[in-house]
Amino acid sequence: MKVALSMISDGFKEATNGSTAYHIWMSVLTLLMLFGAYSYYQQIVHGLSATGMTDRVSWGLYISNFTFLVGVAAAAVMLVLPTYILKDVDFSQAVLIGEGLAVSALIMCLAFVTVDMGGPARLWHIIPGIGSLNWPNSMLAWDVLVLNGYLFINLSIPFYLLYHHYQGKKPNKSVYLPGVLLSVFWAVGIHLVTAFLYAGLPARPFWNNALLGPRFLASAFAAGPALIILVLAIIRKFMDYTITDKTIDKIAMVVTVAAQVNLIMLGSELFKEFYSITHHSSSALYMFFGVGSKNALVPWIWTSIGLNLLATIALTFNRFRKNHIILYISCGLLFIAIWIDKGMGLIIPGFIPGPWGDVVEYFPTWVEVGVTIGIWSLGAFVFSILVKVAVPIEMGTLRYKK
Amino acid sequence: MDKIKNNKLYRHSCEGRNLSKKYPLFQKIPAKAGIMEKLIGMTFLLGGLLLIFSSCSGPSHKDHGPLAEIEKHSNAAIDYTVSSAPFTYGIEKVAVTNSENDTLFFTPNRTNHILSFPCNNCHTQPLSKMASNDPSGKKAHWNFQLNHATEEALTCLTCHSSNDVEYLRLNNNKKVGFNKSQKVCAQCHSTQYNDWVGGAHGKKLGGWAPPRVSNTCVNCHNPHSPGFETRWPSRLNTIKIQELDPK
Amino acid sequence: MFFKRRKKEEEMAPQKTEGCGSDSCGCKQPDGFDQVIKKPLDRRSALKGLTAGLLAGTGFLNSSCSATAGDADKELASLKWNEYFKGNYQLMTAEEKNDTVNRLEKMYELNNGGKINLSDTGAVKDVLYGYAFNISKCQGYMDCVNACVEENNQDRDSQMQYIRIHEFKKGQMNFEMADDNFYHEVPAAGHFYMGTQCFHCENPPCVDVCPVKATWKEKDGIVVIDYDWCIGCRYCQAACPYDGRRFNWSTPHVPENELNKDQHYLGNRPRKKGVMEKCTFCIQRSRNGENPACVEACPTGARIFGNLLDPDSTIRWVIENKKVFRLKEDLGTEPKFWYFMD
Repeated sequence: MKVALSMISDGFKEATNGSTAYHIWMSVLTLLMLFGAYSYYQQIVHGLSATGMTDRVSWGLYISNFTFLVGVAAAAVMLVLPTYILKDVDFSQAVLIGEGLAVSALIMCLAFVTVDMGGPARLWHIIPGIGSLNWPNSMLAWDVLVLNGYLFINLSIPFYLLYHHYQGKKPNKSVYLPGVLLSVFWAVGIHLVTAFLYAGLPARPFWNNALLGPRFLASAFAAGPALIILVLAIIRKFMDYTITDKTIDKIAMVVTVAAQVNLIMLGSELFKEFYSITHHSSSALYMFFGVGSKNALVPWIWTSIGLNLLATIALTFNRFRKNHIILYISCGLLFIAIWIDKGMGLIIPGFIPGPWGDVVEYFPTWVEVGVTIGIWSLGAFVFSILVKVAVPIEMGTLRYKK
Repeated sequence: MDKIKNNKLYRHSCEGRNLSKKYPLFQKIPAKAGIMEKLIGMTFLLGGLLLIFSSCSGPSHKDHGPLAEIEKHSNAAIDYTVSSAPFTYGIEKVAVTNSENDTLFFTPNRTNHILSFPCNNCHTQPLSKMASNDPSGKKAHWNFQLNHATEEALTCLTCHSSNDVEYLRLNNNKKVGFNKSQKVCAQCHSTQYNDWVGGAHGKKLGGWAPPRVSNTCVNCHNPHSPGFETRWPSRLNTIKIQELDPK
Repeated sequence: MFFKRRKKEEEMAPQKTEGCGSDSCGCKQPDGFDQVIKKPLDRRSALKGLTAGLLAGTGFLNSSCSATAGDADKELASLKWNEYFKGNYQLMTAEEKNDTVNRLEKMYELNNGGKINLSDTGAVKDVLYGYAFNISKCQGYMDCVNACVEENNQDRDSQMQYIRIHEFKKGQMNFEMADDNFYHEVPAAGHFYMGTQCFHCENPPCVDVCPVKATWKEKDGIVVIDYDWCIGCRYCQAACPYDGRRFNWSTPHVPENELNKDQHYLGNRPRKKGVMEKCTFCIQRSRNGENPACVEACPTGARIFGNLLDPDSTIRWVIENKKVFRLKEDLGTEPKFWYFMD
């Protein structure tokens, strides 16, 4: 107990002290979070009419970001798996970072879902026991369970590890290994369940396809580790934490394979939508080519596909991938490409055209963008603190003083 | 590509293809088995669980539609606790009967709503005499324009009786009261008449619960001009217009 | 007061298990804040007293300075408090249903001065509602839409409408080509009209997906929403293949003099911001034997409503004697809304 308290207070000290750059970074995030909070206040006062959503397009930027971030959270597993289970030590420095990323991504996921609710004050209705969770019928109920479970796992394992490292002890494998094993399945689970959330709706032919889940996984295992590479690069630059080139190269390999698989699946989807155009292709037609004068998503999706192709091709060639500048740029491009593709490119066209064929476009409002920026800042803020505290403990510079 | 092949992950996933056969689910997995194998085994297990859950809630549509509900229910007449009577309270009703004189349902009384009914208020003499009487006198029914079928098919006297204006006439010269005017219409419009008796045609008054009260033909269709004029819709949704065209 | 209610609950208990025999309702599960804090009786009443005091203290409800207004405000605050923590309507006992109906009536009185008549009439025995729509007869007058809005207290500001009338050019029935917001003399030459609304599916996808069981199919087949239990996630809206659901994106507003005061808990009682709503076959009317407002308003008789289980009903006659079809039957939703032609 004393150790835990000391760890928290040491952690707090660590998180609140740092270089000027760190302070500036954190203040900027705080400001953005405040901006987000103000935007959310506006939304609370006016209702969701403050957003660009309508009865025609009833999910927008929030759920898009939620969907994408579930993938990022799930991707932490790609680092956990080799480190703890395949005993590939190369990743061990990265794995805590990965789990920190998972935690931050999950917090963002839950925040995005919460701000999307029409009655956030009534969210207690979802708590089993007090409320009435519609499990197992509702995929959203599954999602609530698996996301919270994943958050718990990804909080408890790193905490257990850090807690022992903090005291200079060696963590007991038989305690954390089952948890790690579980988290591997869980990671796949959260992403599949989130995919099923959409894939299970015959009302929306654009989502109602069997490839949605696998494609979610492929794109997640590309975008998540791509983000981890970028984060590791930043950590390497600004902190004394040694991350070998080999680690980065291996993660890059994961990103590459996932990105390639993702492209194959994209091709398969495009073939299905456009080889024989049925009215189930309407959403894809709208997204890729627009309907009449309505083409808000067209530039986005082509940008996404362009970036995706560019990054995947660059990553495929050893020569380019080994060049870290090109690698970082490719990872950045891939991340953006998949953010567009899995966010705006998946959720919004699902609603367009509507069940009776009306094409009503969706444009996020400033309130929505503000809240979104605020939540991303919240995620970055949480992640910064986690890394700021975890790295010194891992390096042995922050230890329990008896 | 060599890099990928040498990658442990890649190798393991290839080897793991036949695993479900090699290691049944609950059998202890040999210590030699790689972790990937265990993972795959557990994936099957999870998949199986998911299947069980989904089959619990998955209804079969064949016995789950409204028609299935109808079939399950006995075909006996229903003893209702609700009634339409309060909603047709002000309406004076006339029974519509079948050939056995059973009441099928009701229509609103018609004769009460015909101006200057009964007709013999004016028609004190046969029509042939009234026409020649007093050419300067007022012309009744001057506004009637017959716009119903063609002149060859239908004239005033197709439906009205010249010797007893109090009644409508059928093709066989039998008389029918104005409260049963549907019988006149049914002579030509038998399809519509059958639909009306069944309930597919014509507006119902009151509620869905018995007793049923339906408008009769002439409550909606002017018998002299049974078609309808076009009109403007009763509302326009301006928000929808904005949604469809934000500019 | 809470002691009293608690005692009544206990008396009701045997009835509760008896009355709720439906397999899907899951009545074994305790539900709502009430049920959870049931055991420590003293703590519960203490908690509620405490929170009531806190509410008054913190001015949670903008209590005004005047002493008399204060009393009303305090009552309102306590009513609101109880409303907030009530359970899912589906799982309420008859007593609890009665309580919430009384609370809502009282709250309306305190807020607006007037009285509303809020009912919680249950399903009529041996009734399964069905609806038929005669495409040959619909002329696109939109009288049904008008009547629906007036009857069901939909938000006037966003011009929310449950019914959509689609105008098709003759020769096809492609909804993508149809116009559902026409404004010219109707019926337009060379066009036909078709209305859509909630089809009250026997196998409603919207009900399956709701994460909190805030929407369900009643025994008489009407798909309803508990407006106080809905959390506003809009998953049902995404799951509905018929665009049958509407969301309150902002606080709905109905002028006091236009408010329909004959209300049903699951029907046309005023909704709040951030909850879903939809056509309920005018549950406040249909459960009394009356036709839904759209049926009553339609001057053409294109709309037919009735009891599918009644072999003598007009709806049964239509289904059995006309050539009927339903929309998107391939999705397996089993709508109770049929279309037919003369």
